[in-house]
Formats: sequence, structure tokens, C-alpha cells
Amino acid sequence: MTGKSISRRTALRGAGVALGLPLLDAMFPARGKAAVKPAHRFQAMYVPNGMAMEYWSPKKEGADFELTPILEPLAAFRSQMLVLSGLRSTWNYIHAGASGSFLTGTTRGGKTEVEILADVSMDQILARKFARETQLASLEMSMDAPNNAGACTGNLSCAYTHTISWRSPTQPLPMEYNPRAVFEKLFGDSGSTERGAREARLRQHKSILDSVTEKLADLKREVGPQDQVKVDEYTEAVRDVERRVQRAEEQSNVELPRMDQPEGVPSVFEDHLELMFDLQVLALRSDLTRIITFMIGKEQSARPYPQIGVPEAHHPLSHHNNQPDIVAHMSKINRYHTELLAKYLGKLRATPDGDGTLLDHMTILYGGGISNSNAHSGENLPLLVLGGGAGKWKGGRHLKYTDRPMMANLLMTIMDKLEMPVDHVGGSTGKLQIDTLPGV
Amino acid sequence: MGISVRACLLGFLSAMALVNAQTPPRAIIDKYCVTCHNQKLKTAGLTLDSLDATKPSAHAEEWEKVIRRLRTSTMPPRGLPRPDQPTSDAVSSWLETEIDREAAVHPNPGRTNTVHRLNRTEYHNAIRDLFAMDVDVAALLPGDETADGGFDNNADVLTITTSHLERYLSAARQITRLATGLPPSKPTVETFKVPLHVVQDDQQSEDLPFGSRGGLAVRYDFPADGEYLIKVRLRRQYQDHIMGMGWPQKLDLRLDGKRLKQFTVGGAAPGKPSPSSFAGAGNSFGDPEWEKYMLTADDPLEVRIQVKAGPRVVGAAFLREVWEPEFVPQPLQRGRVITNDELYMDYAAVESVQIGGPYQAASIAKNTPSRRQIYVCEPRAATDDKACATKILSRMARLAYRRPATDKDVQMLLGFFDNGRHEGGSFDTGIQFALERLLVDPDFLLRVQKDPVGIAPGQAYPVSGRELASRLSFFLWSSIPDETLLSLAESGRLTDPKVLEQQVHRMLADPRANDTLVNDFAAQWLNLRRVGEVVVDPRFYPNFDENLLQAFEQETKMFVASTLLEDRSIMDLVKANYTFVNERLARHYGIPGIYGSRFRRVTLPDTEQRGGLLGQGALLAATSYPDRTSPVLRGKWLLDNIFGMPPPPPPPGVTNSLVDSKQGARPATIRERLEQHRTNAVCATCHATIDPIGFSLENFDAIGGWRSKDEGGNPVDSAGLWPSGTKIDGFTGLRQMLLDRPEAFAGTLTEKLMAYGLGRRLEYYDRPAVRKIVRDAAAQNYRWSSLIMGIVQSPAFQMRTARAN
Repeated sequence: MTGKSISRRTALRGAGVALGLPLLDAMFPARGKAAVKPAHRFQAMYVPNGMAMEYWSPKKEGADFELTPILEPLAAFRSQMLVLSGLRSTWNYIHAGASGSFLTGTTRGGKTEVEILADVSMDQILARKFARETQLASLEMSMDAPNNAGACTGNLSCAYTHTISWRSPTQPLPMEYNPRAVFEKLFGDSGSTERGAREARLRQHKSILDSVTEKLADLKREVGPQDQVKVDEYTEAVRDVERRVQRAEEQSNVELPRMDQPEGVPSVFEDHLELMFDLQVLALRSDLTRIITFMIGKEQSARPYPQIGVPEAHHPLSHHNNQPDIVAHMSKINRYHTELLAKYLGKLRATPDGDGTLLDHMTILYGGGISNSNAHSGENLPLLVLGGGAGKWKGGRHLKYTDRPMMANLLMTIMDKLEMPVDHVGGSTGKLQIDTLPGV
Repeated sequence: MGISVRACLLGFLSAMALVNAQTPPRAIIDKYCVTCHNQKLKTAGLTLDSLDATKPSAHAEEWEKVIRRLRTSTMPPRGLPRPDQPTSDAVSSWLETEIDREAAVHPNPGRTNTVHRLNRTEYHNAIRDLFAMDVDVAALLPGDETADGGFDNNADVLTITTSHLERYLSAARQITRLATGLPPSKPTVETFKVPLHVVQDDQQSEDLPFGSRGGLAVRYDFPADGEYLIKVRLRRQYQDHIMGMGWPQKLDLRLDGKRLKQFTVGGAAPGKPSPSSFAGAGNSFGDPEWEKYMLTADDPLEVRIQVKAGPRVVGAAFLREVWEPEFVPQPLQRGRVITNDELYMDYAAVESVQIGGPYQAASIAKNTPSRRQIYVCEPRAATDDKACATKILSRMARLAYRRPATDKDVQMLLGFFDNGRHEGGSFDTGIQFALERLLVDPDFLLRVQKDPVGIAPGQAYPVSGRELASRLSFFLWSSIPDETLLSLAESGRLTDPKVLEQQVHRMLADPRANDTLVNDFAAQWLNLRRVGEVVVDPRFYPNFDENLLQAFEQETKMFVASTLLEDRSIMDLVKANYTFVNERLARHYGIPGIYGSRFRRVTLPDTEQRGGLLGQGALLAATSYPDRTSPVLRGKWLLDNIFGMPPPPPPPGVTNSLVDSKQGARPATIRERLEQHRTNAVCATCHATIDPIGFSLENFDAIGGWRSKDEGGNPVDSAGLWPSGTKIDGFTGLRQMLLDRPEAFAGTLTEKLMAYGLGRRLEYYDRPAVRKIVRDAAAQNYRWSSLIMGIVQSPAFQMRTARAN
């Protein structure tokens, strides 16, 4: 039992990490195949507790839309931004359904604490495709500690509000909130992305592996041909790691922006968020993964934002009873989030990638599974598609749908753009028309 | 005991009249078996008509199947003509005698795999024995595969993959840095959590002081002398409000039992509180000051202190106080479910303890248990370096390799020592790097058994003393041999049966044996590792909490340990009239007069409802669904682990969901719902055996509570049925059935223990050894030691078959 083992055993720092090798290996998947097109990456970013829609939705449609107070911080990215209005989800049970259906498109969920049921989320369908090409099929991150056990809203499993990523209809993926653990996932135990540290660690690995190889050769001679299977397995594993070391050595003259392994979770929200964003940029630029899901807040988050003059807890505040002064107050949080988003987009834009920037080769879905939080409404969801999408999206538009299409249809369209067409995502009813919408 | 031996003898004698012991039981086989098991039908792949019944040892594999079916009375199937029990027993006896006689002359010890990787438990224990360190290896290494319900030390299943090697390399570095006391390059923050469903109303751990309530004790190896930050975070409900903040509560932070600081938390929320639920209309939040307090009241719960390196206990617990100073029993004060209720006036609880550091670390930590274990010398001058390193490394290599270190071994390690000393600049960095290399050595990670030179293919040979030492230590300690075993092996004395026996007794008296046989062997045999995964639906079991699960596991472990420590009969596992409980478990079992969180031995007030493993919550909860019992899971569990006749898995493509009762109709009993298993012929093949056995435990609900009404409110029907048609009268009937035939349960346990001890699956050719162990153990009242000694002395343990070409 976990409680027991915690109290009895010593946990080692950096527990459970692999070596720092995959980074370099994975950094150059296109090595030898010069001028390969940069990969098209996908990211979903979730914000909780609905949106002050009065401060979000542009009135004008098409290319001429106005930047509302919440969208204003994104002005610099207008040409790579689609604002989508009128989409809806139907499983909107309090807060659980909002995040639970966001990427799964599910139209139903569990009814008790122990019934955990949604659908495969689209990031995980994409991850299956990319699993062969990158070190990590996908990266799931959150600003809140994972909690996939126990009951949260409406006595439903906490899984629904704490993750948007589902490997299967019954397997929610925990999202990592500790930057230290994310760093280890990406860069192993070298402690730093700095070149000297990586090289020293490589040398040590190499000498150990050389010596183990010698010993295995002796052992293989001693056990006779029929019993060599396990020795061969071992040898193969050693060779595998050796190959990585070798390639990493060849490539170690490459400089990454220096980042030391973070200590733990910073106590200040913005410090924490900045670390998480930096890690995402690093993961994407070194092509360790092409799929990221990130929750800026778990659904039903009660995080207060005193740093922007909103000391009230977010979730209770979101039950504003449609009182204009309270809605206005809450909209500050929504705007704060887009300001932070803009910083992140700026970093992506500042990172060269192939013939353009990282942002040019990304599709980012930003938004939440609730519009009016007072009623937990799933109508007219606040959604943005950001990034150049590898040339697949035509940004700078506000699209307003009047036939209440399912948000899952948008997920299908995104899958299309990432060249992994599927016949449905959750309860989708078809692809969302985006490029051919009249009047745009 | 005496009675059942006599009964058994009588049975055998009367059977002699029917089956002449001198003659093979051809006639009986022909009469009752070959109707189905013939060359034409080949039912279950068994053709008995063509087998020579005069010389069963020539086809032992087939005849062993017959013996097992007859001994368990599971053949012929119910409804077909079957011989009476004495006749059937006589046939088995005759077959067994013949096969065993041949096996005694030409034993087949089988062939343990040549290469056997240490599994995670063994790795953990080896590190413990090498470096005097208790490392949480589960966080460092991947888990181990098991095959068809076997043990996770099965050599055939333990693979070595790239990811294993990566983890071994990474773990080796971290472990040896900590063991040699090298300071971490930078501070880290580790978080230790209290599992979500643990209720913190009592003293939580023996490591926390008497009179404390809730909290957590963490054993933490401080890597260096330096400044550390210890921070406590309190449990929140689903709105992120800290629970129980309506009144002031005192919290102690302790290091090795000594109070570092006492805090008062709670009761100081300013302003207007929010309503207790957000369901209503209107402004539903409290004043910002109030909200802020509810979200951040635990911010000040931290201390920054200097700590000396080494393993220490960090404790965080509340002082036991009652918020309502009135001793009137109150109903359970929980509004919804434990995890999200919003109680303002309840107890606060600890969610996690964080330990961060070392900030401003000093130099190398010298005085730790690991350093004392490794450093048999310290160089006084630089010129001593080599000599001292040689001394340290040859000793560590001998222990890790389980054999004397050769010159080549030592030279290789010294090379790494030089390298590490050069790169890191100190003697310690040299030792660290050499030890890092040692921990990924094939000779450490793999147990390799080589056939002796010149042995004929397929010939059985006695294993070497060195191999025997390893077999013993991995069997009884799940770890590497100690100095005593190694020197006895090297001097050749370990193979002396007397010395061997002494050693087994010495090893059993060592706490490591108890740890291994209880926490590793029994935990796997009895599926205790699954208890932590039990999920319970709070709508049906509102009183359930994780403390109960922890208590279940503790109970069974202490119970099994008590039988081992006192070298009791293994039949006590079935029939004991005592168990171990704390207040939580006693309340669950209805045992009065037990207070506090400490576990103690109690004599059971009612052995009709409890007594022995079969009435223990651990197995009853692990074989249930969140909302109901499962006679299927229980029946299968009993067949697998108690009766030793595992049913085959369901055929592919079978839907295994039961049809639910219609809305509004009287809820069907589980017995009625499982009736589908017997109306469907495919299901019935196995479920006609499985389900009726499981029914006998129906008096226990899904979390092991005694009940007389089932989930649907119907009276419990605990009538069970053995495949032979013998009725099983509930829990006590099931228990009695096992007690009536002790050799059956002893046989199952011996098989399990032997498979564990050998690290391989048992095969038909191991059956004679199992029977001999059980026969010999009967004379010693089936004491644990008689089983264990029997296994150690068996050919399978002492010998090995050379590879056949």
C-alpha cells in the first residue's frame, strides 16, 4: 500500500527517470534527410470555469472581427488565430462533463465515483500516430496536482476535472504538474540541458557500457548456445543504449537553451506557469513530442488571482448569478489567461523551426468546455484555434456557426489537418466546415 | 489430526479390498474414464484407453492429471457414474506409489532457467543488504511480469529490455551517490502523500506519537548535512477549501520523534463564509478574506532546519483533540463521500509532507549507516587510496556477485575507481563510480547457472555449494547470500545435510525470512498486492475507507507471520481461532473492546463467522466488485490458491457481463443472476465448478463484513457445492472441508512455495517431490519448517538437469 511504503522506504530524488540520452537522439529525427518538412504539432490548452462571454465573443464575423477585452492580448497573433462561436457539447454535467468531453467529444460519462467512462481523446489518437516518431508519444501537463481517484463534482470521479486526456474510454491519463518530473521525462538524469553536463554523463555511460559488453561476451561463451537467449537480450539492450550514446556524442555540439532541472513546484503561480511553458517549448523544439495537452487550471479550480486584483476563488466567483459587476470582475481572470497565453505564443514565434517558426508549425486549441459558468452551459463554447498549422489553417477570422454544431466536429477537422482523418471523435456528427464557410 | 490420519488409513485399507494394490486399476479406468477420454473423443486431450496402466511412470504427465482429478473428486463429472471415494482414492494411491517409486530412483529435478534476472523485490533487498539502505525501488525500476497467476520471480518470464537497462543505469547512479554520501548537485523537493481515502481520526502510525491524530510519518534519507525545508499541506475538498478549518487545531512537526515546531491552524477565517453548497442561486461565495483563508491557511506550516545526513523519520500529526467536548456518540458526520465533503467543523487532515533540500549543503556525509557498511577502511594518506579501494571493492564485489571476486573483477572495478576519482576529484567519487559500475554488472543483476563441464546431456546433477547458497538466500530472503552462507559454500560445507539444516533454521530465524515469506511470497500467493487496488462504491458501503484496506492487509500479514514465527501448522492458516485487529478492523468484524490504532492479537469471539484466511477481509474484498460480491471471483480464487486446481480462462469472445434486473423489479440475487452460467453450456464447463464454491462465502459482503441479507435485501444463501456433489455448508463448511483433508491444502501450499522457491513453474515431474514433502510434513503436523525444509531437501532444489541436446 502506498501509504505504507512511503513511510518505510527511502524515495530517491529523481525517482524513476530514464537516462538523459533520448533527448539528443530524438532531437534529430531528420538527420541525414536534410530539408525535411518540419512536423505539424498539436497542442490543446484548457481554461476552467467557463468564460465571461460578454468580454470574449466578437460581434463582427469574418476577417473584420473586433478584438474583445479578453482577446485583445492576442492581437499580435491575429493572423494565426481563428475565433469559433456557436459550437456546443452535450455531456456537460456540472464541471465534470466540461473537461471530460473537451477532447473526447463524449456525450455521456460515469455516474458515480467509481464509474470512470468517457471516450478516447483526440490527442491520444494523434499520439498513436506519432508514437513511432518521437521519444514521447504525448505530454500531459497541468497547473494542478493530479487526482484521478476519489469523488469531485457531483460525486463523480475526480478524473473528469483533472485531466482532458484519455487513452481509452476508461483510462484517464494523469497530468503532471511538477516541472521537475516533466524535465526528467524529457531530459533524464543529466540535471541540465547544458552541453558540458550532458557530455560528462555520456562519457560515464560509455565507459560503463563498454565494460559490461566485455563481460557479457565472456558470459555468452560460458553458457552455451541454447541458453544464450537472456544474455542476448541483455547484450541487445546494451547495444541499444550504446547506439544512443554514440549518436548523442556525435550531436553534442548542439546547444540547447540552458535549463537546469527544476527543484520542484514553484509556489508562485506565474513562476510555475513560466517553467511549464519553457518545458513545453523545449519539448517541442527538440521534437521529443508533437502532442501536448495542458490545463492552465483544472476544471472547477478555486485558484484565486490576487496578483491581478481578483482575490476571490475562481470557481465560486464563476457562479456570478449573471450580475454584471461580478461577470466583469471574473473577466479579469479570463483576460489574464490570454495574456499568459500570448507570452507563450511569443516564445513559440521566437523559436526558429525549419523554414519558419515553431508557431508556424503548430495547431493550438485553446478554450474551455463551459461558456456561461453560472449555468454550466455547454452552448456556444469559447474556442480558439491558434498557430500557423503548417499552412493548413487560414487564420485571422471569426467564424460564427448558427446550426449549433458539436464541438467534436471541430476535433475531427483538426485531426484532418494533422493528416490523421478519422470517421468520428466521440459524438461528432461530421466535420466542421471551416475553410469553405461562406462570407469569409 | 490423529482422527483424520486414521480415517485416511481406513479408507486406504478398505479400498485394498476393492482394488488389489498389486494390480493396475485398468478395470476402474475403463469403467469410469475411457467413455470420454479415449482416442476417438480425446476429451480434454486425454486418451486413457491407449495408456499402459501397468507402468504409470512411463506416462507420468497423463496419469498425474488423473490423480489430481480423482484426489479432488472433480472427475467423473457430476451426474455421470463415479466410483465410491475409497475406490477412487485407491486408484490414485496405486498410481502415486508407482510414479513416486520410480521418481525416488531416477529423480527429475527439472531445469531452472540458466539466466535468472533479479526482480524488483530482490534488487531492493540486495541493495538493502549491500548498502544498508531501504530504497523505494518501485519508483526506480519497471515492475516485473508474472505469468498465469504465478510469482514475479519466475526466471522464464523476467526479461531484460532496453528500458530495464536504462533504469538500472540510472538507479545505480542515484543509489551509489546516496550510499557513498556524495551531496546532490542541487536541492530537490520530494512530496509524500497520504492516500486519499485514508481517514485521519486516529493515531496513524507507530512512528507517530501516542496521543497524536492523523498525519504521516516519512522515512527519509537525508543525503547530506544541510538546511532542509519541511512543509505540510492539508487536505482539501473538491472546492479546494481546506477541510476542517472551522476550529483551531494543533499540528506537530517532528524529526526522529523530537518536536520541531507546533502550529495552530484553523478557526481564524475572517469575514462571511460561503454557504455549504454551491447548488443554490445567488452569490454563493464567501468574503474574499474568508475564501483566501480557506485556500491558504496551511501556508505557514513549514520549518527550515539543519539536518544531519542519514535516514530519519519526519512526522507531521495533529494533537488528538475532540472538537465537540461531549462524549455523546454522534452519527458519522459525513455529508457526501469522504473525499469531497465540505465539513467545516470536522478534523483537518494532512494531504502531504514535502521535504526540500539540501540548501547550502555541507560536504560529504560521513556518518551514515551506508557509509559504515561500505567503508571497511578509510585512506589516511593519498598513498593508501589504492589499497583501501581494493579492500572495499573486493568485499562489495564478492557480496554482489555471490562468489569470490577474481583479480580481473577487482582490476576492472579499480579502473572505474581511478576514473571516478579523476573526474570527481576525491576518493569517494572514485568508490561511487566503481559501485555504480558494480550495480549494472551482469554478475550482479543475473543469477547464472551453468552446467558442469563434461556432464552428459539430460543428466541430473547436484548444484554447487555456491549455487545452493544463492538458491537458499533468494528463496528465504529474496536477496543475496550473507557472509556466513558464502563462506560455508566456499569451504564446501553447505552441501552437508546437517549444516544445510542448521542454515535453514538460522535463516528462518532472521527477520529477512519473515519479510520475504510474508511480504513477498504470501502477499503474492494470497493476492495481497491487489488489496490496495480495491475500489468500493460508497453508495453501498458508506463506512468504507482506505484505513480498512490497510488494516486488511496488515491483518493477513501479521496473521501469516504469526504462524511462521511460531512455526505453527499451516492448517492454522485455515482454522486459527485468533487474528490481529486494531480498532478500525475490530469494529468491522464486530469484535468488542478494542481501542486504538495498534494491531494486537485477539481470540475470535465467534469462530462460526471468522477464523483463518477464508474469513479475512483482504481476500474477501479483493474478490469482490465495487458494489457487490462475486462468487465467481471468489470461487476462482479458492480453486487457484487454496485447492490448487486453477480453472482455465474463459474462451475468447465470451461476453462476461451479467444481465441486470429490470428497473423496478425485485433485484435478482447473485445466485439467480449467475444461473446464466449454468444454462449456457460453454460457461457451464467451468462455472458449474467455480460458482457453487464461491457461493459458500456469500455471508461476507463486498468488504468482508458478515451479513445475513445480500445487496438486494434478500436473505443470504451460502449453500455451496463441490464438483463431486458434496454440499458445502457456508463458511464453516468450506473450512471443515479443508480440515478434513489437510494433505490437499498442504499440497497446494507446497506447490506454491516450491514454485516460488525455485523461480519456475512446477511441472508434472515435480509431483512426486510435492507428495513426499507433504507426507513427511504430516508426521510433523504440517509445520511451516517441515514444508520449507522439505522443499530445500527436494531434488528440484538441490539438483538440476543438464540441458538435453
